[in-house]
Amino acid sequence: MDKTPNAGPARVQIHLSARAAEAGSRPAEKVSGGAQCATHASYREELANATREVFEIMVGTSLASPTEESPHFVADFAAMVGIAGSLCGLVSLHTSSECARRIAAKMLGAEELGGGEDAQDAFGEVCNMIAGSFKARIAGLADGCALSVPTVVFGRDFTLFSLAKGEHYHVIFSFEGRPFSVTLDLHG
Amino acid sequence: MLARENSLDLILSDINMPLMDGLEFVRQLRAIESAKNIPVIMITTEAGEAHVVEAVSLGASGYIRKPFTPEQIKERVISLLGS
Repeated sequence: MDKTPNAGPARVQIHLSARAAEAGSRPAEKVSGGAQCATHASYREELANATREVFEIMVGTSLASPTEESPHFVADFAAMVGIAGSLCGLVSLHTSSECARRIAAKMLGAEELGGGEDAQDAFGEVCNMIAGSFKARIAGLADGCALSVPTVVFGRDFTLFSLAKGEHYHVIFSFEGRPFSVTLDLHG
Repeated sequence: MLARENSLDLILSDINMPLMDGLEFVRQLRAIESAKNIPVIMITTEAGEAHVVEAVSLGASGYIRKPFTPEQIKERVISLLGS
């Protein structure tokens, strides 16, 4: 049964924090020189490239260049994937529930999807692939970091509060005329 | 359970999964006599060489990095099962 997400009874504050890999997981290695030299511009650029790659291959959509403007939109659907290891932080994807459902539907080859589990899983998977693609693009991160399983949050009344307090990168794209943003928050 | 009770031709599995990850799944699968020869293709965002080596050493038959095209899946399946 496809359930439509609702706003929930109360405002929820979600504190985001990526920590070192769990016990038993692969030990993190230090980022190689190439990654340490990565600039602000290259992280943002690779985040955009990773997003374009995922949308082109998995969603079947060629995204135009990211916009430099920050259009106002109600981001009531968000997916997050933690990165832990030589680089610690969080990759997140934010958009409206309508846009999230459209992305999920197109990826799954469906005409339309509700906001239920299929849409949540697919949207989380898109975020997971963007994080994976980003990681693969930065020298030294492929083996030096682990990704968490995706978390999906929806509803109009929540605030994402990052504990990372480090560098923040974000890119805004448009999918079928609807804006969505991809962000990378790194631990300070 | 599914692998124990059914005759499966091929398994496609993610690596990053809740409860049990794909590497542990392959490890347990290979310990089941009736399932130890079922080809397993790992499909994952983890692009590192270490993951590939570990997956293959545990008995995975192939490895595809996400995002992937349908052609990549088809090619890998054909290479394992034939056309």
